[in-house]
Amino acid sequence: MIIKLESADKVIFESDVSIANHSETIKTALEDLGDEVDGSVVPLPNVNSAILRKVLHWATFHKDDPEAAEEIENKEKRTDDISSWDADFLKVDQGTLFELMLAADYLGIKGLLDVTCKTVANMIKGRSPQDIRETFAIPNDFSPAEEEQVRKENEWCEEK
Amino acid sequence: MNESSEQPNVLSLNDVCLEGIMKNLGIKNQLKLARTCRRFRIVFQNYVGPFCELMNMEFTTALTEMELKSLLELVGDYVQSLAIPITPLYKVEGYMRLLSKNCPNLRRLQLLLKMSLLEDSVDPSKRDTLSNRERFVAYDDLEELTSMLRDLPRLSARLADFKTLLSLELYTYVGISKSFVLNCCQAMRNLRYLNLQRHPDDLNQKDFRSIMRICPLLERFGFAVRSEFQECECICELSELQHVLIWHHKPLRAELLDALKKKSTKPIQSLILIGPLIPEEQIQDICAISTLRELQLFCQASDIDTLLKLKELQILHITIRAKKEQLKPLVFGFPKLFLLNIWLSEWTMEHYVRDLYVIDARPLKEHHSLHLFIEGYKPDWKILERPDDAANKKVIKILSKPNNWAVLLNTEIIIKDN
Repeated sequence: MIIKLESADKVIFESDVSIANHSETIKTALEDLGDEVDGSVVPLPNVNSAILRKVLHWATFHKDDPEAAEEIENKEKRTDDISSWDADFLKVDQGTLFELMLAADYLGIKGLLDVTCKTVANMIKGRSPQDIRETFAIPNDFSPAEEEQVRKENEWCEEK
Repeated sequence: MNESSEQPNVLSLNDVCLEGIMKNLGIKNQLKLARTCRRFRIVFQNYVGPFCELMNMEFTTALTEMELKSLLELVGDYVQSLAIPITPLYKVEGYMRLLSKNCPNLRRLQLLLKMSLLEDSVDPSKRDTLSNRERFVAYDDLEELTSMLRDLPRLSARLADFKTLLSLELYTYVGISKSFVLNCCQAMRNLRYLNLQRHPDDLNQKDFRSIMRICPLLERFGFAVRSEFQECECICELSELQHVLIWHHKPLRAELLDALKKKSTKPIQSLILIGPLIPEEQIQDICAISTLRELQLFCQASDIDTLLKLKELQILHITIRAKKEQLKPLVFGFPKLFLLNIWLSEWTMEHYVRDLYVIDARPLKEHHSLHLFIEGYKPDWKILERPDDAANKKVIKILSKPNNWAVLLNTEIIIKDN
């Protein structure tokens, strides 16, 4: 069955329901519509058309993936297992990457959220705090007095 | 996310996304991220904090001092159980200050106190040169010793900050004194668990009575005795005591075993004996403590029949002089056993577990599964592939490392698969 999805900027997308159902948000909306699903449009006010197009592209490629399991430990996860298709798909500017991440969260697509998070994690790994700030244009909002306090408190211990 | 609006940067991500990034980083990279700005610091605290209630030695030794310090400053509120190595000892005061400032909910503390090893204190590139070895012996060792003597009193003074501590383990390689132990007890009168490990080993009856008077709530007590003439059986007068760990150099005192057997208010559940071979007559006395759920000892194969009297036993750590066919009763003879660690004092069996697995797993199926470690044995699962292996794997889980004894704070028993 084909369903219609409406982006924040009012662009209508048609998608097979089996693909759209990878999104928990869309799946719930369709269940709420019940018998009235035919011809209805599911509004997605938090996702613009450019990002929704990419999300549907990703979901189409991954339509046969099994559901990912929840993990509850704070152990470092593998991040070197991103498939080459996903790696190519996510060769985008930082803004688009973050929009995809937010869209994956809003739409409830765990697989896409995981792979975008891994991609950002790979941009962080091995970098110093200052490098991370520079990579992501994060302003240092700790005051000089705070940093001096930390430095003083650290005097008794040293990096190994 | 509208096209008209500005594109988001990393700080405009919501907490779910930021935590999603965090969970793909190890603790070291998580800490670096937390140091970039306030937002990431808060996300770190919210995400990592709940995982830090229990920080074991394996976790903390993997961190640098600076990382551990940062971690405790950020999530110290969450920490209830902490194990830390302190080397060199002059850092004791800094650590204790850090803990007392940041860890108000700390209830269980393991301290590993040791002197720097040669490898730690000498430039690796010059480690093997004779001159450096001489320098180490002549200066560093002495310096360490001096700092050790200087800093231990400071440690006991600092421990007074931890009045609410319920559990203290001191892993020391530095020979702490009796007065240090008593000072610790004075500071922490609520202790339920005190494990002194190997030092001091010269506690006498008066010392034991002092500890009992100061810490009457002790449920678990670990200590060392050098000889059978040290009167330690008075510990059985501790009404709450149920778990005892003894490092012994000689056979145990008959009076102690008798007192353990007769303890009635709260009977003994765990007896961990770390030391030389226990004589046969003492094995008889130990097995008369019918309430034992956990036991560790060194014995002979001829003692196995006697051990089988312990029908309540759930966990057995055993060093034994035995041949393969003699071990079978250990695996199947205890109706409630679920963890068995075997160290062989003489290595005699190569494929014992495989034989056992295929032929004999069935008797256990009706009851429960058993986690089994046998020193030096690594199962070859390919060899073991048989039609009913899947079912057998549920019955006997072979561990690649011994599971530590379960003398923990809240009687929790954790089987950790290796």
